[in-house]
Amino acid sequence: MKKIWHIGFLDLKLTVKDKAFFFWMLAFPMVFILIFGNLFQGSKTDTKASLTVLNQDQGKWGAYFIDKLKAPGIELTVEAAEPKEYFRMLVLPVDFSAKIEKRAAQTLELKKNSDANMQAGAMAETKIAQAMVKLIAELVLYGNRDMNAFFAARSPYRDLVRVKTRLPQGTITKVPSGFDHVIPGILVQFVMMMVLIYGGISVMEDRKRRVLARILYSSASFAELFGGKFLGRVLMGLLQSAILIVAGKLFFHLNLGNIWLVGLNILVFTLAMACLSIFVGSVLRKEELIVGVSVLTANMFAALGGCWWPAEIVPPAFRTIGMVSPAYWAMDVFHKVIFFGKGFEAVWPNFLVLLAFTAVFMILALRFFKINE
Amino acid sequence: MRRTILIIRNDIKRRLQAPMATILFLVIPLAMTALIGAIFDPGAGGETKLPPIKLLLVDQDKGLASKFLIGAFDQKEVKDMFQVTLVDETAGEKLMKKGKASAMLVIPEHFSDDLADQKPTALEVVKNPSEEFLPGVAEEFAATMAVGLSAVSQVFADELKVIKSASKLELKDISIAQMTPFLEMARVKIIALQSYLSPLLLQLKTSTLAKPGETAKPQGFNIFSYIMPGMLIMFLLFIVEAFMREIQNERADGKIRRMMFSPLSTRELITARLFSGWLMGVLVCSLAMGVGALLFRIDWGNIPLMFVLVVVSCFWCAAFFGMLNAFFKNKNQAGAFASPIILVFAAFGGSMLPLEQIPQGMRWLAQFTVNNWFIMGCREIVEGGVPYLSFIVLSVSGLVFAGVAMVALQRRLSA
Repeated sequence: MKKIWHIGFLDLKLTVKDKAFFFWMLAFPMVFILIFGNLFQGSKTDTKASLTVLNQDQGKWGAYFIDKLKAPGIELTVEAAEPKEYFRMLVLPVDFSAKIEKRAAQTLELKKNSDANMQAGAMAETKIAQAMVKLIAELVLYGNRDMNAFFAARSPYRDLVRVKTRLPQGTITKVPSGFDHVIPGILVQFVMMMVLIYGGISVMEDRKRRVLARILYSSASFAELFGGKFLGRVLMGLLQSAILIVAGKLFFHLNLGNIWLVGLNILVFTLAMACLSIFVGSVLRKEELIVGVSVLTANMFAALGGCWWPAEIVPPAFRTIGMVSPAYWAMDVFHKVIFFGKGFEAVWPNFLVLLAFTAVFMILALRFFKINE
Repeated sequence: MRRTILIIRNDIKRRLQAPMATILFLVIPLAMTALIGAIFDPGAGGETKLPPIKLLLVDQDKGLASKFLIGAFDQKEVKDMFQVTLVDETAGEKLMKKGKASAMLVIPEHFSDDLADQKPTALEVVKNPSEEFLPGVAEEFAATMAVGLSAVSQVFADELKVIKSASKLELKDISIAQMTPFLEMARVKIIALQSYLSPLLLQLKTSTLAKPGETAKPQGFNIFSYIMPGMLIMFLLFIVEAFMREIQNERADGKIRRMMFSPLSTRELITARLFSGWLMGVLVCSLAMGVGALLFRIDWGNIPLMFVLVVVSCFWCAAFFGMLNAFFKNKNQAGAFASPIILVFAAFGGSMLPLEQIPQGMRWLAQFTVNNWFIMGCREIVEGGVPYLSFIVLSVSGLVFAGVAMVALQRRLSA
């Protein structure tokens, strides 16, 4: 056991000493977290679904309609002339009031910038639709009376029906942030990438440079050598996870739910990846090939497993296909533990599946693990 | 010149004799394009659609208003958008706890009565905490329905009161004579409503504007042509980088020193290396684009223009990695820093996700990446334009890098 620890720990030490270690393990995942964590929250000025209203109307109804547009979640700017830059702009035409007073139908134009945040855009469109419904309702309630007297009379429309939101009982109490959604996915993806690339390349290089053969000249047995290599890769995955969890907690107030279950999930997932990395490093002879295969495998697993985008927007067929990816099962545990506060009884089947992946990869790794070229 | 051509030929030949890595880096962008494209393919309609939103509906009211609300989910567009399941609250709560639906809409008890009495009331939306988008869509739909119900209940306030009291009576206790004034009142309102609703008094037309010099998404938009350039340039960087790193490998194993015993000059050797990397990039990129056209039916637009863009971009890649290899001390350093640089380029340059999705504060970084100029250039050509800016930026910066590479590499190789 001591020898296994020595071999494994030495592998980890060599990884940490690598020049690009800091970049791969911390800087690059952090860039990902920053980009993807902010992705669906919009940019600084587009966070609250910014809406520019170009009010060219020559009557009072334009301003009245703008008042109806004011709603939580909407950042309204009213302009008299078309601004050079905007995310989305609603145009109230010159004859807006005139047409309303004549009760004549009209179409308003909403111009959207192709760079604008899509979610904020959908929010703005919904709010515009709601304002239109409100205005039409007021006009209907007002009936056929004199339109010039409309503003003198108090608007009879009231928001009788409101919408309350909550999370399911017995789950979490705080609405999860974008980072709570993104960090587990990035953690899973980087554990795959790092363990496969670093772990695979070092197995290949140790074989090529006859380091593996030299270790066997010592008192270490084949089992201890294999165990040490396996442990080294598990430690790499755990270190990568620990770095991201600490960074997530420090900088993004990451909420992981039950830390022990999350830790167990990472460990079981890392076991599978450690075996896969030994297999990749054993069957491939060139660094470029290992990098290529690892990048392809990690990205495919990550995309299918729900690390890149919210699983709910993926067509059901692809969600089913995603089950072939170990990342899918690990992400499912993260979701159950972080968002639903579930315990071991809800996630043990996932652990069994991940252990089955480990067993398959372990058999492949043992079958192809070579001491010499 | 003859010696330079010989080295270029030899370099390319060596690569083609062991093509696995190159093929792999050619397959990856195609595989990634296929996967992402298949997931988000908009299909014939041209617009990417969300999968149906699983919505649980709890009707605790069972009155007229709740029937009206539930009926709204039978409208064609709404039916396509939501997959509604009627449940009781306990079962719904259990399903929500298991994350089996995106949201649960609860219509409270006495909802219809409250509306009839013009009393404020509230619909409840229970959101799935593990989902980011779909619960929000369900919430906004409920909010729009709430506005509609508020409006309808106020317009027909008197009628609703009558319906509410009539619903508590036996049929024999209701006389048509009593009902007639209310029916007449409703008829007048419906006629008045028609002038607002048919055609609708206010309608919305949306249009997406492109930046100056750009055109909006064309009809028959092919999502693969949108994804592939980003993937292609990312892996093209990997291919050219591996090729240019040979300089370090040959320095390390003494091959360059041996070559310098021949009449070959360092200038010739560096020119040959830059040209081989460039040529290899052009070959691989052209091949990938050809496969993309066959597999994904991508129309690359004006082929000669696209070829010029490929040539300029590959020149940039070869010059850039040539320059970097002049500054790296050894192959380990080159290996350690090159991949991170490529991935940062990919992350900020629009290869990993569309540029418009990158937070505004980080978007300016894109202009320092080859990925951005290549992707923008491809889009412009596909849309029928000429990417002058991409051509200028890539060729000028490429020439600068090539110049620096020539000088610095000569020093490094002669040292």
